[in-house]
Amino acid sequence: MAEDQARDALASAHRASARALAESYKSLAVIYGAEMVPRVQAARLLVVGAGGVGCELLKDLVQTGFTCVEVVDMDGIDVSNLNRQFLFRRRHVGQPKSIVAAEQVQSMRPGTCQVKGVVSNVTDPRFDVSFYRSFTVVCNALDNADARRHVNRMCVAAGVPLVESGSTGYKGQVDVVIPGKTECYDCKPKVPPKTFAVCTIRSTPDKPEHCIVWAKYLYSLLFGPRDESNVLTDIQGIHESCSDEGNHARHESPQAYALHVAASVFQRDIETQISMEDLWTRRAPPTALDVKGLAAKEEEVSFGGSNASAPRESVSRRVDLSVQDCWSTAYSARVFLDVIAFIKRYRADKIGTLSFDKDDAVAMAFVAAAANLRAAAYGVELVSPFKAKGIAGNIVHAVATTNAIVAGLVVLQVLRILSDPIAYGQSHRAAFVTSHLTGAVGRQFLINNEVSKPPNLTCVTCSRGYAALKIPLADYTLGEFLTRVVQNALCAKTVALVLKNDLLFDSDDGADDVEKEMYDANLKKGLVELGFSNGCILEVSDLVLNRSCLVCITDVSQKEARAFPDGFLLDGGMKENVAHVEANTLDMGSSARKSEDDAGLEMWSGPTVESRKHALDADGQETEGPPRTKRAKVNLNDIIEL
Amino acid sequence: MSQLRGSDESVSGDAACLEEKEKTRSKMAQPSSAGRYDRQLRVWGERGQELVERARICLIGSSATGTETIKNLVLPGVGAVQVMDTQSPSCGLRSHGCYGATDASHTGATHSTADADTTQICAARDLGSNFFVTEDDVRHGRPRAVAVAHWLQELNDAVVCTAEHISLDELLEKLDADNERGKSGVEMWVAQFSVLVVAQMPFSERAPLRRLAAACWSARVPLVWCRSYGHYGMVRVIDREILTYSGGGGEGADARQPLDASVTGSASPELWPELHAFYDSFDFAALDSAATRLVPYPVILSKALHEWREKHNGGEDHHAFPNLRKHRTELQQILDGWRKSPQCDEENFDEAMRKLRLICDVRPGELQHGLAPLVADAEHMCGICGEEQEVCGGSGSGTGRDVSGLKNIHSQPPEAAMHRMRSRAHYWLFLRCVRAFVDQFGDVPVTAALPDMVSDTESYVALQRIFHARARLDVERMTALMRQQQIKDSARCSRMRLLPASARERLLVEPDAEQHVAYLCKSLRGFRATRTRAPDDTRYGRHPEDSELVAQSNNSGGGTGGEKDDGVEFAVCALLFAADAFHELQGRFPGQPPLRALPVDASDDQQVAFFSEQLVEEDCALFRGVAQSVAAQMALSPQGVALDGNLIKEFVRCGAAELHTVASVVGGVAAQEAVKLLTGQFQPLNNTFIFDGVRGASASFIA
Repeated sequence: MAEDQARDALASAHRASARALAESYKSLAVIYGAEMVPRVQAARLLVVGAGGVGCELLKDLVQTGFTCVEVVDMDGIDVSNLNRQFLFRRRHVGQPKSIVAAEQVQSMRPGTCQVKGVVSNVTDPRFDVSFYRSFTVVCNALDNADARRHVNRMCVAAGVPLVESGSTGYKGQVDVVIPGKTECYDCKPKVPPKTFAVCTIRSTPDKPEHCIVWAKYLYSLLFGPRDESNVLTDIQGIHESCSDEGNHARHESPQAYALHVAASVFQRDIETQISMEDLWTRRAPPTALDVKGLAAKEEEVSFGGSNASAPRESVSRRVDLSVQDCWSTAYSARVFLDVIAFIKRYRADKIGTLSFDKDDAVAMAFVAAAANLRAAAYGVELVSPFKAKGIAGNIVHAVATTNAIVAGLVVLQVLRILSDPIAYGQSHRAAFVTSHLTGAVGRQFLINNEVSKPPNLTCVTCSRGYAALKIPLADYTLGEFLTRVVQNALCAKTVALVLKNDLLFDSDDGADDVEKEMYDANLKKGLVELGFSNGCILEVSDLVLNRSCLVCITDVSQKEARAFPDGFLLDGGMKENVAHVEANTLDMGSSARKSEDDAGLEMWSGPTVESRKHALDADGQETEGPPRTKRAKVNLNDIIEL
Repeated sequence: MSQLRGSDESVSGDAACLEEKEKTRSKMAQPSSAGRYDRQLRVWGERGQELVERARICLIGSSATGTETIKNLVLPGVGAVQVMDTQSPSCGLRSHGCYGATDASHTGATHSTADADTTQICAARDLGSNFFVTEDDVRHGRPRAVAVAHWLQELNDAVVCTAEHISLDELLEKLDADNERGKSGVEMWVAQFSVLVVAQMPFSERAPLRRLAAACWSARVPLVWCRSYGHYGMVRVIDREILTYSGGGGEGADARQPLDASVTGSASPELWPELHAFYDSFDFAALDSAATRLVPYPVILSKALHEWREKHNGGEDHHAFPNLRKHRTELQQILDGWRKSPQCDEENFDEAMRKLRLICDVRPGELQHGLAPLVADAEHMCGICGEEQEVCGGSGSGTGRDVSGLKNIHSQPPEAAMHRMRSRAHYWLFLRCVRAFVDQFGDVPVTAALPDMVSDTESYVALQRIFHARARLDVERMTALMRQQQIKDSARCSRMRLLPASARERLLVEPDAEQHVAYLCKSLRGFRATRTRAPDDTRYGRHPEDSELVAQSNNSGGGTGGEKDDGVEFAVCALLFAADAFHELQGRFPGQPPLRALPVDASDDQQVAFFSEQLVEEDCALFRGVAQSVAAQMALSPQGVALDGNLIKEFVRCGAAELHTVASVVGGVAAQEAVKLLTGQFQPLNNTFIFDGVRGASASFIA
């Protein structure tokens, strides 16, 4: 009896799934034609990001009839996601987005689709070229430029179409990247992030933003990893309270430590600043603050929030970061002292590793309070914790409606890619568009389109060759690799090999003796020893033939390798750098930049590496830390919240 | 989860129950809402959020398009949502109790092969388009509105989601009967909602929707009509008057506000002595070059104007303005004379040059940014009920044009209507008082927000202090003026006399309304009134502005040079209306198989077979005929709409299929418009938006 019921239930579930899909396919068939149905059925899709656009996207894809979707996201669910990421409920807060999103979608359509959630950073090397090649189309629903650029590069390397999307507030955008046919993400110039002069942050703030950036530096100075490039390292006496060298242990109580920090930052440092008289000829000098005295006027506060590890105390005293009124100076002083003591007491084990996170109530309380005290000292306008969070976290406005529209447009583009096999063929036709969405400001609602352009010839990503290589890394020295893979298989004779910005080998004559010695030594070393790993990317440039290539490496076992005739498998090849030569002669800016770099690098690297560096700089990456000169600029974090 | 009810409860009983639930909800949901809504608070601000949370939305038509729209309103946390469907169930369904109740009679899958019109019960075809209908809902034969309300409720427990299981025809019938018995009518029913969203319902001439739309029009309830049709989508907003305050209330709203004359405040020293004392404290002759570089530009401009007047008429005439081209050159010379070191960058002087228009073109007291016509309109409006004085009897001509069907709304207004009345009244009252304010104090109220400028901190802070003090004073003055005006109007407003005493109180500007008035002052430059076409005024383009249609569309259609065929959107718009007309004639949409021809238990294969080429061919001819007459009636563009054969075929071939992705886009747009209507922020759509999924493009125009 029970068995019969179970069988019926199973059968009906099966029918059910068939029915839901059949309905989706019916609409597809009447609108796109019957040939679309098997294409949609067979397609494997990768969705990168399960945030605002990602959730909508999963729903739209499953509802359209896609049956095989993988979603990658590294984040957990936050309360502030719930106003638009509709697959998540309050009970899911803290759980991984990708897993919950996949479960939720499948629970609405049991048996019809396979949605796999993967909790991982998409830049993880395990997502190599062959991983990307296993998908028909990749959809980006990301919140930061770094990951976007990475996925874009992988898709171009793998030759897989990418639909790129993003939204902020009422604005959104959808782009299609067909590798080799249309512009890629890197082909388009990007707006550089907002920067501030170091001296404005360090000595002469006059906007709330300056104080907040300063407070974030103070936070990482006190609790983060040691960083000599931090603009505040020269604060007198602060070194004693810094996280390094176990100095934390010297202060007996957290309260005493907090008072010490407050005194050195808001009293002694400001007094030092005041003494630099030429700063204050046309500007009122700051006033030193007696933080201890100010704080005495307020009752002690406590820190609640979802991720605080402290015992919960009475609600009335808990710091509320969502208020839109400004904290008074006295209250800021109180919060400042108590939050430092709190971190000392309850997060002692993490001191030295902490980095600012806008969603961490404790870190945010610190920054809001410190920024307000700084503002008070310099006569700058105070801001509410709500506003401070917006500035500190670079929070981008996000609403449900825009995400819904963007996701809908993404899926229409995916269908367009599937329905238009010409996109894969030789002839490129103007079939793909970039849709710009202008929600509301100043004019009526609009979705505009723009025909995709062919790839930009000077683009760092589009203009090189790509090759995928499967090789047992442990079996090779660099020398063997050079002969067998680079010279024989890639047919590159006079080459430079670069791995993760390190020049491993250069067969050009220009190198000096010390360099030559190093190259020779490298040739004898094993690949693993030199830093090769699964998923790494090696840059191969042939200087005589002016060609280059990025080799995406997959480590395989010896057993697997035996199946390959050469002992490795190479797919792809070098590509001529025609465009780079042109770009070099035209672009004076980049050659001027070149001269600042190491001359040795200049000799061999050609513009390829140069322009990549350029791109990274433009995006505000601080790979080498900001140079500490007067001219230097510091960046706000490049975080875009979707 | 809250319980959902069926049709056994009366409409009015429902409303009472709803209000009770809303009370308990507001207590429950408060503490953590700030975190949940953080990102949207940054778009529309606390005040916008308050208005969103107060809203009661009614959805009619719980298909994918409607559900997607409401989903996007439940997530940001509207107060309450009521989901309804349009048609009666074709099969008897005596009890359809609460969601989740185990009811043996629901297990039969009798409705799975639904015909094209029975949209009321969850059917297999809903599974294909509507994410918020599950297989379980279909198996149990649940009313679709009930299923959708259940899943929407899951998204946000702060929202009260209910389903009303009654067809529109039945509802209208019942309300008409009530009206005859002297109870509430259709107007009263729609008045309880803040916005009505109508999805996938024909808007043809005899459609019941027209009745509802007319009621909305007279009760001033905004109606958002949305439609997905194959690859195409449409959103239409119908509201007599959409009052908006600003381009957005979130952070950054201040920065977007244009500058005004009061930044310089230079014209008439006697009107703002504190500011002029501050300006006078600067003397360029005494400043060194470093200091000169940090003088804020309002000081430079003010002094330049003063100097210019000295040169022209010995400073006698305070009303002389440098409004000629040569005057501009003279001013530039004055400015250059003050520069200490022209070779080094004195950004403040550059800034002053860019803002020259503040002293050249702007007169104090002059109403800028399209305010003048609004202030003129406001002269005729009653400061108590927000209607024209002629309507409410304020002008002494009795109750004038008042519609008798609205009487109940006026004597016992539902909460949403009361709120509508109050915000309209305060909107117009404020604008009316702007005139009085300018007459009395020489200029419009000052806003506290000072734009960013090159300056030393000291001067900037001093300037800021002066502006803050003045802004506070202006708000006090404005509040007083508004209260005085209301006292005058209250003696004359007949609407007010109909209200119970407690409701009357609520219409008044409280003595401590400063925060409210401060918001209005701050928003002054963003005030707009958008008047859309009436629901019946759709397809007959007799309006003079019709001739502007094409130009308007080209302006807004984004000249990015995409693959844009001019006029496709007009054709799509015409064809969407034509499809409704076709439906009215044939009882089905073009390309759908005739109802009677399809056996009730038709298999999927049989159904698909009906979408045969033959049917498409036949319907193309039929549909073209209907479309041509509709297009002619619409006269959408001076050249007439070109009805492309391929486009017609595309319309027929899709058989009115609702594609989920198109529904998602249309739902996003429609919800966005609803949020604009609720918050009074950003420019609303006037009145038609067309989405073209084939090209991924859109257009908006008046149709």
